[in-house]
Amino acid sequence: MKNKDLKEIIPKNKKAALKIILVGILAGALSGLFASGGGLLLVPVFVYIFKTTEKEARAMSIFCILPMVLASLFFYNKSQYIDFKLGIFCGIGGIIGGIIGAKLLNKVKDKYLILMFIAFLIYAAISILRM
Amino acid sequence: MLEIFSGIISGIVSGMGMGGGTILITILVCFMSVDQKIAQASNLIFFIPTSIVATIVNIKNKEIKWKLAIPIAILGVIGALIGSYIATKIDTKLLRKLFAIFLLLIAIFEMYSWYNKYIKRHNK
Repeated sequence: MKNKDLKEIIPKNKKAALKIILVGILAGALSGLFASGGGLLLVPVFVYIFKTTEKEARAMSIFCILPMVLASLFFYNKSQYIDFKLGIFCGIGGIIGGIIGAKLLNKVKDKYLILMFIAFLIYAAISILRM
Repeated sequence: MLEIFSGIISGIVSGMGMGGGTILITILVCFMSVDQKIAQASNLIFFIPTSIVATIVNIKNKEIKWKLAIPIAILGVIGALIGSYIATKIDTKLLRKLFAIFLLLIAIFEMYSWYNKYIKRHNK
């Protein structure tokens, strides 16, 4: 990479640079610790702090999380927590579900779906805490 | 079969742009009695194929602002190495409890943004 290109990537504004550092490390730490949740942090951060559109935010969050996931796999694999059979079966379902979800997105009002999502999260959190 | 079904539900949630990964881990841990760490590792595997396809499409559609995305991705890798090292070393029960608290925080945040999006804006 040329020196000029590097200068373009590194923001001139110190405050902006600090925000990027904090967001990057925090999103990575979440992705590593819980193996999820990076997108839930990154999408609103991109939209509200870095003023991207919602579509760009989703696209960039997936792009940013991919290397974080690959890095996390290193330690999960080393400690032998990876169950490939389970992962692949879930993955097959995930592809089918992803297609259904993308089609539903235009039909069902997300106003009520988000409420269902919230209710599920609270129910699940309480049952895990009581385990 | 149940694994595929769990995948379908999380896929639907992901496809709609909500946290599919958190849902998958939750279903595996809560309803299928999978170990927290194994469930988390499965979600990592689950994420890879679909996100590679999505990223190729997104790059073609020029949705990615490189100046912002590249530094966050690089710093994220550092964070991810720290986070995943901690996750594999701490007690599974503690990790599960932290995960539950994390779910509650997401729920609170989602409620806040739901309120802003549908109630506050509506009343203006």
